[in-house]
Amino acid sequence: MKKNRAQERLDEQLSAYIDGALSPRERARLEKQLAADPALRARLEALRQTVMLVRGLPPVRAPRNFLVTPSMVSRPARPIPWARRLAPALSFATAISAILCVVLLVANFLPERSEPQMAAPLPSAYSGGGTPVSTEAPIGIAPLSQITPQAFKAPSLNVTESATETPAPAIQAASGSDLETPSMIESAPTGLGEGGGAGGIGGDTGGGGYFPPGAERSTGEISVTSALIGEEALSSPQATPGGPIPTLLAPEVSIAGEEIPSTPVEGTPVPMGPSGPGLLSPTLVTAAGMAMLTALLTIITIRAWRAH
Amino acid sequence: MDEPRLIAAARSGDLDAFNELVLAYQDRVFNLAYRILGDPAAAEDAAQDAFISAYQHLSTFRGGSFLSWLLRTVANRCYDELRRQKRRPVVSWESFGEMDEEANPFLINGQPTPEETAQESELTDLLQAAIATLPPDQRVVLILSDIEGMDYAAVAATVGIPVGTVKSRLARARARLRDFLQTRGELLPSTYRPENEA
Repeated sequence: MKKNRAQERLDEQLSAYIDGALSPRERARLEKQLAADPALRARLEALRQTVMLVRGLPPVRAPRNFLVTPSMVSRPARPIPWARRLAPALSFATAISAILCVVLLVANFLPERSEPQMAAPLPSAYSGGGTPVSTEAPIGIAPLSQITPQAFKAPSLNVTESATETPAPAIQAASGSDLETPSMIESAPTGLGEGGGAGGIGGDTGGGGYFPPGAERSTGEISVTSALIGEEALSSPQATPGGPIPTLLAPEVSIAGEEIPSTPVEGTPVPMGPSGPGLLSPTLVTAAGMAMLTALLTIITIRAWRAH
Repeated sequence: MDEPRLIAAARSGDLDAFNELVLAYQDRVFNLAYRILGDPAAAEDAAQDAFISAYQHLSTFRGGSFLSWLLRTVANRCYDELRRQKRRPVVSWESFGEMDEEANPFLINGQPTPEETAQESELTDLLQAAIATLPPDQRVVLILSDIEGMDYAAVAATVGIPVGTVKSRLARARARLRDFLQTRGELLPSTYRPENEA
């Protein structure tokens, strides 16, 4: 194979040499080679004779006249194939299909507004005097009004409205509380414990704070005597991002002096999975179908335009 | 023949003016078609179609040599025909020995001696058979260059390939013809036998 390639290159040079198509440098180099190589000279001579033979081929005469007649050049009007007639409509349909496909794809991947997660609404008994207590609570925990006193022994718990995503009544701790430091909440639900005014968990006894068990607040304020942090939940971490989600029990809540029996209500841990369009959302499926239709129409349209 | 006037008249629909051009160039056109295709019948069809196409597309002629434009048209047509064909041309090596001048009435020659006539006929047939063994791309380039006398640039423009490709295809075509003739050198007239390699 190498020898053939080298011979091809050599023949190409010899052929160009016969035609006078080599550069002066190439010609000089080849002539030097020819002078030193008799076989190369013989090869050149054989090629030259072949070219002369071909160039010497006698011309042939036309066996007849090839005059052009009017009938040859004037073709009858051929009916336009049906495919060709449909081509404009097919083009329009293809364009519409493509636009719809794009619109569906864009709509499918538009970011959805994340809505705040809602916890279970408060029982009506906790609303106290007919005034509904805000049922909104930070993500991942039950409303503060549902916190029971049994197990939550935080020395202070500053939970202000600003600290939570949803308005919750302020909880103020009495000074001099001798409450034990509770176990840390390993995973602070969103809105609670993240910066803000929730720094009181586990340590802060100033300012706002936490009521010791039995303490009652004045009218208009909700007293939270205690809150139970599900120790079971802390000791057995759940497979949730960031650690176990605390299970909070409903507290004893007294509003305007009323004592309301505590009713443990387990807060429902809210899954914090990602939200967004599912992989098989109807829009995506429709877009995929439109894409296939567009491809099919494109093929048909191209064939229709090519029909003749 | 006033070629520009005839072309202008043909462009405006004067078929008689165009046919004057046909009569002037049909031998060259047929010769090219015959050398490429190797079959007289196929060459006739190609030549006729080339003239019809040339009349219908006169508006694409941009000036220059009208003959070159015609040859370009028929060469492309023959090239397309070769690519479609799956068979070899009629002139085959097996029928070479049976052919004589009577079998090839298209030859145009002077007044040679009978021996010269026979030799020339044998040579022509042998060369035509040799050309028929070339691949279509090499065959067209060889004929346009060595039979029609086009330079590399004109061949490149006619076939639509780079000049470098013309050079390489031409060289390969010539080398193959050389090898073909050397293997059958004993059948060549003595005058035309190429020298053997040393």
